[in-house]
Amino acid sequence: MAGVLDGVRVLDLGRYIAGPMCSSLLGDLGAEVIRIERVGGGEDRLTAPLGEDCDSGAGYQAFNRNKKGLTLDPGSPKGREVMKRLIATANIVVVNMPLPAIRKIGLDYDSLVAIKPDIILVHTSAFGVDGPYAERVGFDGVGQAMNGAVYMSGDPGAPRRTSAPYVDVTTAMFNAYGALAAVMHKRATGQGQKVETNLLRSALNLTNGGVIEQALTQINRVPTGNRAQGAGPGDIHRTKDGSILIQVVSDALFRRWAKLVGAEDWIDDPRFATDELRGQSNHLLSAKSALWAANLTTTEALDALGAAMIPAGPVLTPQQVLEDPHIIAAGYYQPRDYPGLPGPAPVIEPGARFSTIRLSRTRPPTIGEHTDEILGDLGYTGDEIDGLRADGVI
Amino acid sequence: MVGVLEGVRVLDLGRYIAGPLCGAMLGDLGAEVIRIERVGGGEDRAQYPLGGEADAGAAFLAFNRNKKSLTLDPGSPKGREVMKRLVATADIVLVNMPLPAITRIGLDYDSLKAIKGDIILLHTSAFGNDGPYAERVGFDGIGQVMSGTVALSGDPGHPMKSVVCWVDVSTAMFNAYGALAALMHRRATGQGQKVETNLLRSALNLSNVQVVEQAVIDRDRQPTGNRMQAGGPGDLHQTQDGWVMIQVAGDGLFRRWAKLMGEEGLWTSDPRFASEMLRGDNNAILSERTSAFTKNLTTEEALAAFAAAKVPAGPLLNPQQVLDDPHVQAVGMYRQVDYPGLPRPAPLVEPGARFSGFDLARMRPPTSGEHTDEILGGLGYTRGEIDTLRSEGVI
Repeated sequence: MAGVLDGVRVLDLGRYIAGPMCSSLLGDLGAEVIRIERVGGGEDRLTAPLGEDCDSGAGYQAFNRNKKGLTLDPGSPKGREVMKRLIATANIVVVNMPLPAIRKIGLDYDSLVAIKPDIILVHTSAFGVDGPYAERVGFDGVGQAMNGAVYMSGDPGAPRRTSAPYVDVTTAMFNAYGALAAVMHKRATGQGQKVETNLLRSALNLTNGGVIEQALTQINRVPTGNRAQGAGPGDIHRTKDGSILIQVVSDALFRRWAKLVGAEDWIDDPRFATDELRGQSNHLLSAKSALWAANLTTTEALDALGAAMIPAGPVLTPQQVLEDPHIIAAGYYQPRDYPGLPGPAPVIEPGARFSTIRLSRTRPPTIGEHTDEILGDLGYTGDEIDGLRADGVI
Repeated sequence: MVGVLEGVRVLDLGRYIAGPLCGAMLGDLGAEVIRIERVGGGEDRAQYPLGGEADAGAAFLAFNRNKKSLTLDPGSPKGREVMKRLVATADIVLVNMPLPAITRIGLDYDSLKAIKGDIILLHTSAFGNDGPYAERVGFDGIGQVMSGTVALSGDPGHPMKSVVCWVDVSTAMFNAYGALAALMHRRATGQGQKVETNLLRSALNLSNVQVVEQAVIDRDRQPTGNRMQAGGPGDLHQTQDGWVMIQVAGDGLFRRWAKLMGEEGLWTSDPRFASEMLRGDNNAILSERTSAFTKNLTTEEALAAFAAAKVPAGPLLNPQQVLDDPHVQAVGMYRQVDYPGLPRPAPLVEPGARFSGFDLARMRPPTSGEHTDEILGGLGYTRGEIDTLRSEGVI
């Protein structure tokens, strides 16, 4: 059956995560996504290399499924001509670069509209296109530091960032959501548009609760290590053979936890009467929880917590993720071959599973893998393509 | 102008974040979103209370814009009847609860489809509906620790969880993406469907790089504090009056960093820093050099220097500093929204995607049960019937 985005052509000039993952999510739904990268391969292929025979690393493998690959020097005169002909055939352009950079290579909205009036531009920058930091560059960690979360993670005076690139990924997802909404709008009205996202705004979307609380109460929270704020107990505890996290939120869960760990007398204790009060005194709750967990293996603790319907899980390393019985049984990873890889890469299933829509499943492209095919379709002859290659344009 | 989702009715039975934020994102695009919560108000209203008379805390306000509120006891016989009549008028049902719980109250896909043939169900659970943990419950942090990223954050032997609910939020966004795709499919074919998301799978979508690397080359990475792992330098550094974060990736950026440090050739000719991978392996040295650079500067001076060199950098901000930041203020990142009983307006963040072609909806979050009468009236309930349902505790 036809995909939801069948017939939609996406030019993906994304780099790293915020652009490329968006394009993959559009490719999942059937869009024809053309990854346009510099001659020799984009710099995001170099992150976390996977061996000398493979032209790309783990970062590339994770975020570039369902795409064709085209190499191009968009700054050269002949490259600009190729780009123009590509834009004329495209429905969506995805790009994450600062505004001055996309202007320079003719990928700003006005330039695109002059070629294809109903084009949809999805443009990601670090700080947006207005305001004092508009021309500054940024990566995921910069968003993490500026949204209040790094300050509030770890211990007082020792701020901590997380290794999960959540600013990039949520930006990619705002891009995908924005692209779908823009396609629906175009199907209804015939009009294209510009969709703008930026890392800082995505980052602030994840900390809005804390910012609202600060604005209204001046609570001036400080970090509390791995202990939860605003509820409790919620902490990482050592077991006999590993570590687990438990998370107790709401009165009902607190009562179940108190019974499980033998702290029934705390159920009616005024110190623990609400989520907020439990949050304030949760070092006591954590200590009790830690004592309980210390005498059990991880499996024993998780079985007991599972039976009591208390949210809990093991702290897993990447290797343990691959070995987890639930993750294996549910089939979350699809082992995927790629030229030059010593073994198949476990590429994660997308976050949404559809009962009716079938998602596309092609591996990421090698460097420029589809250049000839795509240029041929644009009307370039074999000789012209050879000439462009000899000139270093593709 | 008319919103993209004008005429789409969403029943939002979500709680906390993964469901409710999706409902808000559909509301942004013009859908009529009805938050259905228990009589007296959902438990997610109680988190991070704000004082005053307001029936909602900070977390609720952050994730429930552009909705109406209906209170209902869906377990009671009359509540089930109200729910059935609501489902018959709905296009999308959004729910984050374990499968046995939604089956019990008749919100599983088969039950919904029997009432409304082309319904779209968005169902979020902690661990999905297959596999040994399918019936277990979970929250955001459970996804975080099981993704592999907590084991790689913090210091060796001291795994560190983030305070940011990135698992919940990314699940909400997969829900919103799934809802739009399912609506497009329905507009093309007339068919509804079920869209399933779960916290664990969302979490694993954010750690795929580390998992691919481990599976293919057995990398066995260890946590490296705030230093990034597969490149460098990327770390938090103290200044005279705060901290700055910088992140260097790619050869071009590394050369710009080296030039800024003042001994360009020394760094760029050193074989320990010849590639992204080697810089990642040896980035403690690069971090140390960066700290020596920042420690004599104020945060503002350090940021100006990094910006001039086009090196990605930003200040470490606490929530108050976020509100005070000149860029955040200049671009209008927050909208001041009044809510009944709040001592003053709440700063609601602008949604992550800004559209040039249409405006987003801008309704404040609803008070508990604010639209119950209006919605039941629309279903054909009379004034007397509504009063009776209320006196019986059904609504």
